[in-house]
Amino acid sequence: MSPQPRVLKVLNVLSALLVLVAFLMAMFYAPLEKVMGEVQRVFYFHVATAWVGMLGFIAAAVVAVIFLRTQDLKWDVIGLAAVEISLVFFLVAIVLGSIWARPAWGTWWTWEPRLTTAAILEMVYLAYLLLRQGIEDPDRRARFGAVYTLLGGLSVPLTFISIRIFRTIHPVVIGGGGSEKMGMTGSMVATMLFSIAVFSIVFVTLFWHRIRLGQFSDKVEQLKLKVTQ
Amino acid sequence: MDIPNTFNYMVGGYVVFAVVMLVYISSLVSRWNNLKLEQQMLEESEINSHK
Repeated sequence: MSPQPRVLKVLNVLSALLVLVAFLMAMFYAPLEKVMGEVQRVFYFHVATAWVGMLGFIAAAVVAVIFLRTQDLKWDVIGLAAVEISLVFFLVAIVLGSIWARPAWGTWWTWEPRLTTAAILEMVYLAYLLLRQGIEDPDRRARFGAVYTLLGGLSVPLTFISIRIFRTIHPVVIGGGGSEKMGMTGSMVATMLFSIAVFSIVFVTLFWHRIRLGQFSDKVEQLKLKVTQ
Repeated sequence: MDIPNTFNYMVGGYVVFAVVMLVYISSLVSRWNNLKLEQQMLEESEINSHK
């Protein structure tokens, strides 16, 4: 497998540095929220990881459409990479949300619409990874994966709009004047937007690495077939 | 109004974030290294079979 391209090496360093800057902004630039106290500082990473997680699931659905049209297995590798990384980001978002909820709502978890749809979303894609492993034939596995991620993609907008169409205690942050309603100051909004941008770059970096891993895995599989034949 | 002391929750949140990201990045590195080893073994056995 070819060595890491220079751009990817730059992205590695840039991602690490930007996460550090986002962390420092959350700690020192954003002011202390007077109702919730220090825990509100995890909110910036919570929103950013949830946002890129959802975008990744949408990207996987788009890739699924491309695969179904082209039947080219390289798109299956890309779709799998998008799902795996989105699962990690979305897991972080759920756990950070739960940690934020404990002092804010007095409970780690409640089955309200946003949390419920988010948990379902995470489990839908976790099941995708498990079910894929049960299919030996690469073509069948890729077709199944594409149809599954396409259908699974429907749960993403449902999760996103759940707090807008149902009565819920989860705050609306993005759109609809949510940040003003939450009493966010300019520096809080700036920190949130910066974190979203940073995690988008981290996502691209990890996505690239995961695609390379998938391509390498395919190469080793082909070599294995060649040796055993 | 007193500001509640939620410092430990904040620390917990960032620790969870760091641990999950480190575990995932380690898993990527570990899978890559395993594939590299497998590739080396397969290439060696391919060379041996041609001898």
